[in-house]
Amino acid sequence: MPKKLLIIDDEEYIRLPIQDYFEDCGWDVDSFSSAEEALEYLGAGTADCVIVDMRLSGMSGLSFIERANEIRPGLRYIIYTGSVEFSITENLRMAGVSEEYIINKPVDNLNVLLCAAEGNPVKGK
Amino acid sequence: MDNRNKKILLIEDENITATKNLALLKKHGYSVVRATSGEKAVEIFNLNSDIDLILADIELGEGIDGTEAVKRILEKRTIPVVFISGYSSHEVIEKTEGITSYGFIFKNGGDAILLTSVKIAIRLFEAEKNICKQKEELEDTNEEMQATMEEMEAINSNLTEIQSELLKSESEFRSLFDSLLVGVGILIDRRFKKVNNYLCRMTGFEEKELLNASTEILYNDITEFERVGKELYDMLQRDGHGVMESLMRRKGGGMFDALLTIGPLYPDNLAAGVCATVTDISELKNTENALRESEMKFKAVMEQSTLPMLIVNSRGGLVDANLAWERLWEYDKIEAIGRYNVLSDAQLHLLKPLIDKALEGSPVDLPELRYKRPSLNGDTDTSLWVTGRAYPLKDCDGKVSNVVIIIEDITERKRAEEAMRLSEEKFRNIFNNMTVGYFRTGIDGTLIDVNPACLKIFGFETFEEAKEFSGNTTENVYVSEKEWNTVRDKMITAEASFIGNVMLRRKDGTEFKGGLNMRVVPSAEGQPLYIEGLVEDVTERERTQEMLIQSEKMITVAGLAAGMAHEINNPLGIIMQNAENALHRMLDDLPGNFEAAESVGTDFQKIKDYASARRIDRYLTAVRDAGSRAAKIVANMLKFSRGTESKFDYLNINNVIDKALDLASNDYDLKSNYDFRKIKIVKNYSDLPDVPCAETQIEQVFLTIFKNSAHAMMRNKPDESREHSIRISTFKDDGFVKIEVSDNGPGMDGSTRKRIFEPFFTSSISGGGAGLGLSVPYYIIVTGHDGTISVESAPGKGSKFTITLPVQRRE
Repeated sequence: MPKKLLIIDDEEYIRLPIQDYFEDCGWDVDSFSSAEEALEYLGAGTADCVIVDMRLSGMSGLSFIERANEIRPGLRYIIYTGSVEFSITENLRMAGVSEEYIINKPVDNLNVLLCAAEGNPVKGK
Repeated sequence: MDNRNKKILLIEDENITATKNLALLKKHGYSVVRATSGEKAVEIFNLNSDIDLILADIELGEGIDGTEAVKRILEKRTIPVVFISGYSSHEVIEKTEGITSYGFIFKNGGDAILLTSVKIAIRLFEAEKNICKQKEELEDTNEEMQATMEEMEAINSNLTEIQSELLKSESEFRSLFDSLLVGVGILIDRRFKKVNNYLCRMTGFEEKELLNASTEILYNDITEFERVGKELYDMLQRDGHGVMESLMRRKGGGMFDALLTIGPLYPDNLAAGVCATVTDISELKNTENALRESEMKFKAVMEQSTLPMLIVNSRGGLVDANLAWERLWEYDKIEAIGRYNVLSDAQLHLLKPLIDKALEGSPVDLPELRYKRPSLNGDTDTSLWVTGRAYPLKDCDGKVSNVVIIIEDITERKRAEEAMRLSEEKFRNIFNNMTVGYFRTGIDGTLIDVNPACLKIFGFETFEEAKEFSGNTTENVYVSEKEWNTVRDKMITAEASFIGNVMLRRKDGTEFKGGLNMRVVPSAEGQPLYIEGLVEDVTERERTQEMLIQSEKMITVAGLAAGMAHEINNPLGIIMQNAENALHRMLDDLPGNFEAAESVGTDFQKIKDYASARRIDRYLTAVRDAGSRAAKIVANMLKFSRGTESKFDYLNINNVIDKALDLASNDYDLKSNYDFRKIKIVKNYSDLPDVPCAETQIEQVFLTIFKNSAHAMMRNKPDESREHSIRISTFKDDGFVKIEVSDNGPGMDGSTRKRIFEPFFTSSISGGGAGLGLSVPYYIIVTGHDGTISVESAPGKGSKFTITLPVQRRE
């Protein structure tokens, strides 16, 4: 059974290449343009990893992780953000997010995201 | 009558009186020997057979008194005696009774009395001597006459001869009587029975007018006649003789002061007649009055003078002082006279040589002295500054015994001087310690004065050096003649001032931008006196200002960059990810790729070949790589603009620079014939304290600067004479470490220099690079390390980067 990835980003052409890349690599991918839609999905389904942008229209990436962690504890989150100001919060740490899983946009190679999704984040990115 | 040859024995124990009388008598031609006691007097008298008169003080302290001494002397020889006494009590006068004296005067009775008494005593004595002689002769004659009478009676012969002898004797007496230079009359019942010529001459009457006339003829009124008569008679009764002064009348009505003496012809029989003398003492009186007047004048001058005056004796004791002096010291003269502590010991010690000099006879100017004002009422002493002059004060012998000191109170002047001195000192302090250069020149431009700060700015050691260097018009310190003309024109026009920046030259020839603020200082009449001005090296200040502007600019840029980063990162992400995925799906051997190609009726290899043949693979790679490069720039910008979170270590900057040099030496570019190792590196390191820093970042700073310098120099072919070099100097400063990196490259113009630290500022100097150029070192040093970075450069003069790093890390 293929692994399940959720992508949340309000930019369609950020979502699309990541979805295609992961699908090419054998993953089952669902993408959402808002955190609310993703939460709705998690109400019924589950996933192995969620790639989430921080700045979203509507619910922020941070709130999403807090809520999602309540509904489906134990998911792996990758924070994929264009803002370098971002630093990890206590709630994120509770949800199991560590520095290695904060990846700044853009990445040179989509393989960086794949490795992180598989639990082998690249150090010193 | 001639006083010379007359020798007086003065018996007086008190030195002051003795000195005074000695001087007086000597002045009037007497020779005087002095005895200080009665015993001594007898002794002296015995040794000097030529003494003519004894002037004896009755009270002589220890030993025998004056009367006793005189008694003993008179036992040896008859001699005129004048007694002097300070007392007129009956007991004193009683003592002199039974002693043949020729006068009795009181001390302080006046010099005239003394002189006259002495004179008269001598004359009387001589007259008496003559009379006695005459009397003896007469008695002798009488005896002879009696014998002769007996003989006459017996013989009754030689009568005529005897009569003629008598007449001769009478004539001799008369001759003597008339030759006396004092008026003498024999009176019976106050009527003239005999008068001498001198009395006639003195009074203007003829002998016959006087004979048998009452002495009233010589008095102006009856009252005075009776007064004199009574007092003289009383004295005669009491003392056996009388002396007094009176006003007498001449024949024509003119008056004269007269000294009258009277003595009995026969002490046992006053009724038998008296011998009276009259001396005209008008002259003496006049002299006395003149003296008194002169003294009063002196007193008046002294008392009215606003200058404090005092008279001190040879020991510094106060003899007299005037009102101004009392006011000056707020001191009561009466209390002070005779005291020596009017002047403090220290001051007296200082004054003594001066007083001594004045005592030698020459006036002396006193030095300026500070006195503590003696206070009678116990108030706080107030200081007084005085100066003055000391004059010798001569007595009648011409001997200097006292010194007059005229004091000038210069306290106010001293105060003013002190205030002036303080003000001057204050000005000097400001002048010497101000960090701004101050100078003064003549209107023609000749240097008059400069302060130490001014010397320092120009690198001079001394004023003389500065004066010589600046020339007659200070033109030499101006780099540009045009600027000097501008300044000079402003100074000589109505404006008479100049404020602005000009290029100036130091002693060593280096130039700097000087801020001048000059003005012409006019006199009270408005005439230009001199030029004064302030000068500052504004290079540093302008650089600081530039740095501030730079810093502001950088903060703005950094803020913008941070805000933009997110917005840029998303589109960059889209570009890169989509290009990447396009490459994946066009070139990578993914199962999906083969399936998709087959489903559209073609072979995946053919698609790959097509993409390669049409260079679609390269287009996409270019898109992806360009995006990647842009992302790096943004990431770097963000990294430095938000400061650094790198780990700080305490490191020796000299070592960090060496590491950066190692890295730089690997930098070469074959195409442009660029090789860092061709550049000569001159190190001039000082011992440095370790500074807190992020090693790799500081390395990057120096690497960037080195490469920047190297690229700039390499663009220019080196001169034959000069090889490319980078000089690295490090210094320890107060709380800072300072690093200077200078090259001898082409340098930069002003506009390039001002923008060199801006990100994306492109100049040929910054070369390829990431476009951030020197903004990266700027951010690292200024934002990351709280240091400063600046550059000095001018076209053709190379560039010098100066970096400071704090020794303490800011919390």
